[in-house]
Parts: sequence; C-alpha cells; structure tokens
Amino acid sequence: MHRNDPHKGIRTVLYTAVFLLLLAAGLTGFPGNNILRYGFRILLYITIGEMWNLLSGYAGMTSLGQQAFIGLSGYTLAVVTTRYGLPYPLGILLGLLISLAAAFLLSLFLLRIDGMYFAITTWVVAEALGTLFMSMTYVNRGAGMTVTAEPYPRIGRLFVMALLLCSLSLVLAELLLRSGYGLGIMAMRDDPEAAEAAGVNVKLAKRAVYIFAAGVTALAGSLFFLNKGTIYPESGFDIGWTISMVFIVIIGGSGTIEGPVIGAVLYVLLSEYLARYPGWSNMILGAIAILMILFCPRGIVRFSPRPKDHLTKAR
Amino acid sequence: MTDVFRMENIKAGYGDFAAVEEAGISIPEGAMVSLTGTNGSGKTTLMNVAAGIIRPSSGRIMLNGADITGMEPEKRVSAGLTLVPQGGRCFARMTVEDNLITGSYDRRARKKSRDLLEKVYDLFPGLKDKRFQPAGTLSGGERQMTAIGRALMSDPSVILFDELSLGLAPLVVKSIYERLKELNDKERISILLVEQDTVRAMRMSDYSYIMLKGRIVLEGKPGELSGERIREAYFGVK
Repeated sequence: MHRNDPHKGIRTVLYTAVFLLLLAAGLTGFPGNNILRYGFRILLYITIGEMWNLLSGYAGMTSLGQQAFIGLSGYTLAVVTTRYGLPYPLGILLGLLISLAAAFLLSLFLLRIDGMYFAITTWVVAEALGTLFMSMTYVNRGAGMTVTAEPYPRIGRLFVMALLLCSLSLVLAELLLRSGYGLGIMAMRDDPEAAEAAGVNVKLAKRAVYIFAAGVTALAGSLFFLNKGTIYPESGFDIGWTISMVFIVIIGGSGTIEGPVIGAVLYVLLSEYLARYPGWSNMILGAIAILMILFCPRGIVRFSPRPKDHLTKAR
Repeated sequence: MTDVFRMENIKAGYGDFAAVEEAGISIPEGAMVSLTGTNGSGKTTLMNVAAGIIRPSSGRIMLNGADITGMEPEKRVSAGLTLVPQGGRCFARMTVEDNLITGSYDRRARKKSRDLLEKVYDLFPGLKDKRFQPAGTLSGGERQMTAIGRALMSDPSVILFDELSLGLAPLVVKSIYERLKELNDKERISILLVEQDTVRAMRMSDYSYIMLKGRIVLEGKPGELSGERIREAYFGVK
C-alpha cells in the first residue's frame, strides 16, 4: 500500500468486508472443518510472512532466525499447560512475554551487526536454542512435549484467533509504516548512515521493529502449536519456518503489505498439494522461488510485463 | 560575530589509525566557510565526527554555545546541525518527496514540514516535477539536490556539505553553488563546504581552512592567502 493512496476509502471498506466475512465463517463454522483448517494455516503464514517482510522488506534486517520465537512460545505453551496444568491463554501470554524479553536481550548485541552477518547470527542463535532444548530435561529433551488444553478449542475458534492476530498485525504494521516513523524505517533500509545523518534514530527504530516482529511471530507460533498439540526441538526451532517466510515474501512481493498475503495463500495451497510428493516438494518450491527471482523479482503484486517499468513511470 | 559551530582539538580515527590528528574549525553565524584538502587528509572523518557518526578520542564540539561532543546523531539534527553526506546519498527505493519528508524527522521540524517542503520546491523546481519518482532513478545532480533538500527539511542553523561537487558536471555544480549562496544570503543558514576543489570553494567562502594529513595547516580569509602558501599547504611541499 502506498502513502497518498487515492483509493484509501475503497480499500478500507473492502478489507473490513473481507474481515467480517471471515469472522462470520469462523464463528458459525459454516465452510466446514477442512476449509477452516486451511484458512487457519494461511492466516498464520500471512502473519509470520508479514512480520518477516517488515523486518527484511521494510527495515532491511534480513533475519534467518525468527523460528527462535516460534520455538520459545510453543515450548512455553507446552510447559504452562502440561507441566503446570494451567489454562492455555496464560501459556500464550507468557510465551509472548518471554519472546519479547528474549528479543530485547538479543537486540542488545544482534543490532550491532549488519547484513549477512546479522542474518547468519540470528540463524545460529535459533539453532543454539534448539540444541539447548534438545538437552534440557525440563522440556523432556528430544522426546518433545504435548500441549494440553481443556476444553480443546475447536477449529472454528482457532480460526477466529488466527484471524484476529493476523488482522491486528496487518493494521499495526500499516499504521507504523504510514506514520512518520515508517519513513525513517525505510530510509534506514536504503542507507543507514544517511538516515542517521538525516536525524533518524536508527538504533531505536531497529530495536522497535525487531521486538514487534518477534512478539507477533511468537503469538503465531503459540496458535500453531495449540492446534498441533505436540512440539519437538526440531519442529519448534526449525529453519523451515524462516524458509517459508522468505518464500512467502519473495513470491508475493517484499516491501508491500499485500504481497505476503498472496504469497501465504500460494504457499499453503502449494505445500499441501506437494505433500503427496515427499522429497520433491521442497525442490519444487525452491525452483518456483528461483524462477520468481529471475523473472519477477518484485513479486506477484508488482508484476509488470516489461521490466523496469516501475522505474520510468511516475506512479 | 559569534561562532554558531566550533570544533576544538579534535582527534579521531579508526582503531589505532588516527585519520584526524588534531583539527579545529569554527563557523561564524551566517558565514560560508570552506575546508579543503587532498584525498585522505581527514576531511570526511572530521565531518562524521561533527555529525556524531564517529566519536572523537579527544576534543570538543560546540553548537550554538552548547557542548554537543557526546550527543547522539539524531539529537544533533534536532539541535540544528545537519550533514549532507558525500555523494548525495538518497534513499533509493523511496520517492523524492518521501526522501525530503524524512528530513523533517524530529518533532520541531515536522510541524513546519509543509512550509519547508514548499521552500525546497521553490529552490529546486526540478524536484517538484519528479516528486513521486523513486530517488534511485534520479541523475547525480538531482540526487544531490534531494540530499540538500532533505537537509533543509530539518530546519537547520548549520549545514555541512561533504564533497558536494563530487562526480557532478561543472554546470550542475555551478547551479547548485548558486542555490547555496542564496540560502546563505536569504535564510542566513551557516554553511561549511568541504571540497577537494580548493579554488572554487575558496572563491565562494568568507573564511577557509586547508587540511593535510589530519591537521589544519592553513587558515584565513581567502583574499589574504597567497596562491603560493595555498599550494604549499595543499600539497605539503615547498
């Protein structure tokens, strides 16, 4: 979405209508459990894709370690509900708080490094957390843990929770980017030193974006494992989470709000369909990503038949 | 005239390497001052120290009578000191107008941002025509104008220009310099020109510094410095 958007009114009406329609679908359970299950996954992938987009596409911080927060929040949910027998909303809340605190602590040293080094370090941190959980008796080591929820939320209710999380994160991301701070964030992506010279508090902007993205990603992780019911170190801290975020953002179009929405729909449908060809599925997804980068590098939302068109047209 | 900006006994560098051995400059209110020197004489390091991007190992920086040596870069911009970095660095994926508005990042400038934007478009009408174009598609001169405009958007009392003319066609440089003179005369903005081109920069300025190997080796009013002394200072040979 652009600043000075001439269709702002129409868009708002359209998006509100879609939201209400989906909300009604979740509350009534009308589309049936199968469709709702797909919808649930799509909504969660939109959410985490959008957060990765905010980090990488808007703020220029390409992280390969967002799964750290998915694993942390998933495990918190399992510990709170199974080990202590407490209700799952408390587990989700605690997972959020722990992830926010972890993001703050990590930001103290991660934000001192840039570019490729930042990407690799975030990945190493997530891997290290996975290894740590693999050896901790408190979380049953590699045997994993179950998430207990009494009563177990029905898929309709999970869908509504995912819808609320997804919409809220989209609205918040949009508000942030439209505010004066949004310009500062994008300026820092294009040229951090010039942004600093122009008066942007680069450190603060980076930290704010990093912690916000971590919190929302953690909430999505909680919902995912609430539905799945079990968590292992290799599923919670899987680099596959980040791979899917990258795929979603590249396919849809990085640096746009709509891009990851389209990317997530395609990703979930494709990966479900390809699940019947085990071993091939990742290769096919990878090939699609490479083709997109070669022929449509700005993503589906900005596809133009003639390359460089966007450079010559004013708007 | 009082000094609006002053750097005293600055020493700064990277690790063990001191790019600035000892240097001091001052800019009187409303003046246009030049700082010239060859490649590697420490000019850009000194500018980065001024903007707060590099911390000096010793020395003092004063802005409008207040000590800003330990101040964060963004606070210096709010306090009225803005650097236009080398090469007119713009935010390539953002539109020209968004580049400019980013300059009014701090609250004080943001209130005036509408008026400031008008002023920038009056100064550089060419930018207004291209305001919705990504800055990455502009020519070198237009990019430099955008960077100058962005600096003006912070409503500064002092602007430091690092190598304004670098890589630009002579006619473009001439026209940009004319705009700067206008800003200096009409808006009373104090200006520091950091250049390799000693002759042009000195002709423009009220007071000049020449830097060599991390030190100020010559200073004075341009008319009072002989060509011979300037050559000596610039190249470091007799």
